[in-house]
This record gives sequence, structure tokens and C-alpha cells, in this order.
Amino acid sequence: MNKRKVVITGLGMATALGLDVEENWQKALSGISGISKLTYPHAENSKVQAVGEIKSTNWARLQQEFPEDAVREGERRTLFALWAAQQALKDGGLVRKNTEHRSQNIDKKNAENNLGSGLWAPGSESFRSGVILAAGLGINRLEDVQKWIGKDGNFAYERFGREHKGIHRESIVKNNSHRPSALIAKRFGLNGYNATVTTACASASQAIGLAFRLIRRGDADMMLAGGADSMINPVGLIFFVLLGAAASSADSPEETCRPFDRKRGGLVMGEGAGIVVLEEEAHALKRGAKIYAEVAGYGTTIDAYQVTAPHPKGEGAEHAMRAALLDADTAPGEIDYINAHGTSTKLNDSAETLAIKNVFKEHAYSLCVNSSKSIIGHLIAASGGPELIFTALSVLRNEIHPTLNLKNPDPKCDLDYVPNVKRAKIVRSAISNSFGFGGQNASIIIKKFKS
Amino acid sequence: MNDKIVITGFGLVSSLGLNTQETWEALLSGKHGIRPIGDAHVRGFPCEAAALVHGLDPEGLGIHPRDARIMDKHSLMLMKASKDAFKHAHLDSSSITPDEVGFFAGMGMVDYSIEDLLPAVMKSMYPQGNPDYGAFYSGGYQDIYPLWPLSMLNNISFCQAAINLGIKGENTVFSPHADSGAQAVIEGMNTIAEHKAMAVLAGGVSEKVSPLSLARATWFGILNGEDTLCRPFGAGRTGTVLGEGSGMIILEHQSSAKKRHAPYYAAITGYGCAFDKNDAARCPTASAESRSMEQALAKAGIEPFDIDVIIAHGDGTHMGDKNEIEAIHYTFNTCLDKIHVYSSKGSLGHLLAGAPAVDVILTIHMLQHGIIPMIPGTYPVDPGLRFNLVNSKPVKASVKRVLINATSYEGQCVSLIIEKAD
Repeated sequence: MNKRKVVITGLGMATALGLDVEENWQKALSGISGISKLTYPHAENSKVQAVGEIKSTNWARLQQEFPEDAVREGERRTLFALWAAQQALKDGGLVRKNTEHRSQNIDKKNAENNLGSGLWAPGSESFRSGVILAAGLGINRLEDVQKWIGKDGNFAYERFGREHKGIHRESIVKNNSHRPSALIAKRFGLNGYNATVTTACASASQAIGLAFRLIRRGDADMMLAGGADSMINPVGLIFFVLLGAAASSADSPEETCRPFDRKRGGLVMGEGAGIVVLEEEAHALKRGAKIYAEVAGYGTTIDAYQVTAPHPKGEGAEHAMRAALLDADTAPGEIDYINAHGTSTKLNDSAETLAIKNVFKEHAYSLCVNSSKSIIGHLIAASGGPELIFTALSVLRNEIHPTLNLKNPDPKCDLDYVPNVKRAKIVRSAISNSFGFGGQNASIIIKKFKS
Repeated sequence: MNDKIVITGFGLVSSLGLNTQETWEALLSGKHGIRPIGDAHVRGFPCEAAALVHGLDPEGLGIHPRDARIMDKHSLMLMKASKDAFKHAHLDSSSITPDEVGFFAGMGMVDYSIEDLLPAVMKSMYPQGNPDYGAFYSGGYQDIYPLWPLSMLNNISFCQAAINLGIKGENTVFSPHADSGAQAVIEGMNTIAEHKAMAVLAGGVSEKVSPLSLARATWFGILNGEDTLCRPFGAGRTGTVLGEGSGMIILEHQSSAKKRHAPYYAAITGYGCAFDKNDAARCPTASAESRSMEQALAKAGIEPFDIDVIIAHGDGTHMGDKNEIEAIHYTFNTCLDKIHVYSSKGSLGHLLAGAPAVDVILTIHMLQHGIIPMIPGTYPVDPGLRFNLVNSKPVKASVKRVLINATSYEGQCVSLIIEKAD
């Protein structure tokens, strides 16, 4: 039996570079960094000072775009997710014009007849469409603990129990990881499979990989997949400092993230979202959708080595890429470009390089490898979303954005990382890698679309 | 095409026992594990009861103290159920290579323990008692254990179980409600169907009941604040009760089980997923639940009257149960008198992501023994209900096919169909 083909028909994102996919892409190609000095309040003493924050003007725009959700929802990432989902659907020609700025109530009659609010283009079936999103950590604030410390210096548990509703709305207590994917499903009438993946930095790639498999095996015709995340909050800011994985600040923020550079010193956090519309090929062709690229394969593995460090030889990463190639029925020689996990930590970048060399042998040296994190930072659970979008655009347009700040070659990282200047190159097929803390690895293969 | 996907092993941890047998026997004798919480740190909430797991310790599970420090109770429950499932299926390095084993789990939210942050917060306060972020960022945070961040990621306990069991294949973690545990089973099943793994460990684990998890559930408005029991489909039901526990199963192709002479206990033959929710509700709509069940029936190639037992989501919330009753009435309209409906939440509490795989394991026992345990707290039953709710005593019945429902408070419904495998 021939497998159903899965194509990408819509892109939506929000990063430090902006709220528009084309703007993100052009800036990334030009090597404009989204990393800047932290503006989060009261954080002047934070060890982490370089971050890829969503600019305050853009945040204000998101709040205007989703006024009800801005008031009701506690987490920043929820608005990022709504925005990226809406952009992806619009880009895919799947949102009716009159419903763009209004929520659920618009199509009440349709909702009653068809369960979903029926925002999809006519002819599509809401139960054959779903959402799989990545989610990161909930937000913990000092106030949430401090507020219930008694005069005796102990935490007043009973008082907390009575007064817990007074906890900040951003707190993990008033939120849950399934919220963004459910809000999106409700708003846009996607009434099929709905799930939330929580596998740390591998989450968004796994979400996209699972959505791809779901369509390929026939359980859905259309899926929104990707992720949204932000760890720019008090406990988030010290999270990677405690683990020894945060970059120590460089003189200028935009030079702090330097994947594959000998002087790389750790990861730089970003925030935002990246969500794509995946669609079965015939379904997309039938409605005349524009097709960016084909999702051809997905593979995922576990290091089963240590939860504190990746496998030093990148064994899990190697196996994930091999599994994806096998899944895509693609020979290593057909891959021209890898959007690496490339976190700018000592351990990841050398292990990932080794894994690439083990999979591709000599061909590894003719590949282009880059790290989007050098430009937009590490979007943690969401990182695979924007990175897959960049990968798809490279496959479509034969252009590869640079890896920024790569100035000091590392003998352990000796591939072509497209240092500092974009590259024009025919990209037949590409891989996007995401590896999570704990040891979960995911690789996705994107191919040029041929009907 | 006819190579069914079967269950060759399982492990279960609940408030009624640290293994399947104890739990099953307690359920048959009509017991429940719901008690006053009795923890000095969990006080002041309207709901003071939960079904807690007792007696799990890292040492007994062979966990190194170094690893135990970042493992909270949910990690121990997952580890115990996973190890038991592996052992039960006789899977070890001699019978299978690590790359051929997949791993899928539904897991809850991971909450910080207040003690983990308290010293750092104490050091980062002005004398008036408000937070001093300057002090926090410049050193106060160092009073937090350096590996504490890992314990906040719910995939870490998952990876620890993978390390312990040597699992390296296809995997993911879903979260946080009951639908996620059922989706883990679905993805495990498809991983086998697509020959991406020879065996898959799948299931889920509940959250640890803590001040924060209780605060979240109370804030959500799902907890029973008026009563100390969970009464699924009861006339005067007033909410759910949290439970702790985990269920993990091993999935394989029937041919693979036969080849290695492993016994198999049941087949998974169908699943369905549907989403919809009314604005303020904490459950899917009745039509989404119907849709999910009908998809599962279609996938399994059977009709409503082929189902003998429904293990409902039945969490004892007013609206959740109401919608599920309506959905069952609609989908099973022609055979309501034949169907028995059960919910494990009256005995085990709400295990959230842990619930579906626990229900799959209970299904295996119903198929084997031809008996359905009773729901202890439900009396009288909702007057609108038109099916046989097993609420007064265990019922002996010929059980060949069971449908399981699992729903999210955010509106997703998932259904599974489990059958006797010959």
C-alpha cells in the first residue's frame, strides 16, 4: 500500500525577530540577531542577560489581537501559540476572513450543526483536523511562595490551602500544559486529535513528527503542529544557570550564543512559537493550497545514558537521524542541509557533530549545517517549531541562513556550519534536529515537494 | 492485516496496592482507597480526601540515592509500574535490543515542592517581607539544589525509567490529563503497527497529590468539596477526588508474542479521538464523546452491541458525567440494556494521565475472570441514566469487548477498545 504523503501548507511564528514569517526569514538570512539585553523587570542582577525576547511592541500587538485571552489566560506562551496558529491557518488559506478577529461566537449556527465552530474552508471536516503542541514548564514566581511565609519563617500550609486562589495567574497552579492546544482547537474548530507533548527541548519536533505520522497513517487530513514556550520568568532565568548550561554573558548580547564555536559557553534562551499546517497531499492539492515542502520522515530515540548529559558520542542523536532517514526511505546522500539542534553548549555541539559524521560519513563534509538558535535563541520546548519553518523555507528557496558568531573554529566541530553569511545551495532534502534534556531525540526530514 | 496488537505484560500501582493482584482483589471486595489526606502540609482545602499510594521507596526499587534526590513520587510510581510490566512480559536484554523497544507515557503537571524553593525565597526577601529579586538573582537562587530544575521536567522521570530498563526506541510524553494516557497507548499501538518497534511500553502516571496539585484541581473547580467520596454517575455527585497511581502495559504484535512463546492477555483493536468543549465547562461535550466512541467502534470494525462493558471516564463531576451519560445513551441507544458501565474512579480516585492504562489492566482482568467490580460510592444513581451501572455488587458477565473513555478537562476525549485475544 502506498503511504499517504504529508505536505506543509501553512507557517506561523513569533520570535524575537518578529511576528511575521517572512520578516523572520529575511532577518535570519541577513544574519540579524534577535538576541538582546534582558528587559524582564527586577532582573538587573540576573546571570542571564542575553535573551531572545519577544519585543514589547509585538507583545502589545498580541494582546490587542487576542483581547479576551490576554485578560483571561495567565501565560505569555498562550498568546504566542494562538498567534502562530492563526498565522499558519491564514497562510494556509484556512481561516475565513470574517472570523479573523472574533472568537467562538461568530458561527454559532454552524457550530451547532457541525460541533466545531466551522472556521475551516468549506469541504474540510473538523474531526479530521487536530492540534499537537509542545509545552514547556509552568511558571513559578517567588511571590507564590513568599506570600504564605508566616512570621515564624515557616510556610503556612493551612493558610495557603484556604487562600490558594490568591496565587498569581501566571502560576503553574492556575494553568495547565494542555490549555494552548485546546484553546486553538476551540477557536478554529479543529475537532479531531488534540494532544500536548512535554519532552523538554524535543517537544515541538516530536509534536510535528507525531502529527505527520497521524496524517500519513490516515487518522487525520490536516493538523496544526509545533509549539510555544517562554522561560523568561524568575525561576526560568536561573533554571539553566543552576544546571550549568546557560551562556555566560559576552560583551554584547547578540554575540553570546555561538554554536559550534570553540568559545561557546552555553545556551541563550529565546521565547515565542512556531506552528505549521500539515496536510495530506491530495487534500491540499484538491483545495489548491500552496505547498512549501513535503514532510518525508520522522524518527525519535532515547539516549538511555544519563539525565544530566547527552550521550558523549551522540548515539541517540545518530539513531534518531538514521530512524528518520529510514522512515523517509531516503538515502543519506540525498540530504543537503541539517538544521542542527546546535544549542551552543560544549557537550551538545560536539556530540551532534559526531553523530552527523557517523550517519553521513564523508558526505557530512558536503552538507550545510546551521543553528537557528544563534539568531533567535533557544525556544526550549518550542524550539523545533521555528526551526522546522526555517528548514522548510530553505528546502523551498535554496537558501540557508547563517550560524552567527562562529569565529573560532573548534577542532571537534569541523563541518560546514554556514558561518556568519547566508548560503545559496540547492536543497533537495533536509533534516531538522531537536534533542531534549533527559535524552530524548527527534529528527524530521523535509523534502522538496514534487506532486 | 490480521496480526493483532496484543498486551503481553502489565504493571499497576494504586492506593489499593502496589501491584495488580492486590488492587484487583480489593476492587472485587468493594474497597476504595480514598482517605483523609492526613499530611500536615496539605491542609485548608475544601477537599480533604485523596486516594494516595503508600509504601514506595527508592531503595526498594533499586534506585541510587543520587538519582532519588530528583525523583518525586510520580517518578517512583512510573518506575515501579514500568519495571513490573517489563518483568511480567519477560522482556530483557536477551530477548530484545534497546532500539526495538518504544516508550510512550501520559504524565501530569510537575509541581515544585515548597521546601525546594523556601530557603532561596527566604534569602531573597526584604525585611518587610516582599521579594528582593536583586538578592535572588545574585545568590539567593543558589540555595536551590542544582539539579532541582531537572526534577521539574516531567520527561526526566520518563528518561530515568528508560535508563533503568534500557529503552532506546521511539518515544514521547503527553500531558497532563486522562486523554494523554490514552494517547500514549494509541501512539504505542501505531508504533507497533508500523513496525517501528518490536515492543512498546505504554501507559501513564498520576500527579503526586501535593498542596500545589490540590490547589490546581480546586482552582479548576473539579474537586469534591462537600463529600469525602467520589461518586461517578451518582444522583448527588459533587466532584472528583484525586488519586495516585500508574498503569503501564507492554504492546506487541500477536505474531511476535507467539514467536517468543509469551502469553498475551488482550488485544487493542480500536481507538477514537474527538475534541469539543463549551466555554466554561471542564469536560468535552456529549457529541465529542459520542464521536470518539463511534470512531473507536468503526476502527475496530464492530457495532455498539458488540461492546459488553464500558469503563467510563466517570470522574464524579456533575457536568462531566452528565455529558458522558448523554453520549453513551446516544451511541449505544439500541443496546443500553445489554451494556454494563463501570468507573474505577470511585475506588482509586482520579489518576488523570494514569487512569486509562489502569483501566486497560482492569479490562484484562474482566476479560479473564468474567466479573466487573462495583463502584463503591455511587448510591443512588443519577435518575436520568438508562444503562446498567455496576454500583451495588460485582457483576458476573461474559466479557469479550470493553470500551474505555478518557477525557481532558480541556475538552479532548479519547476512546480505546480492548478485546479478548484468542
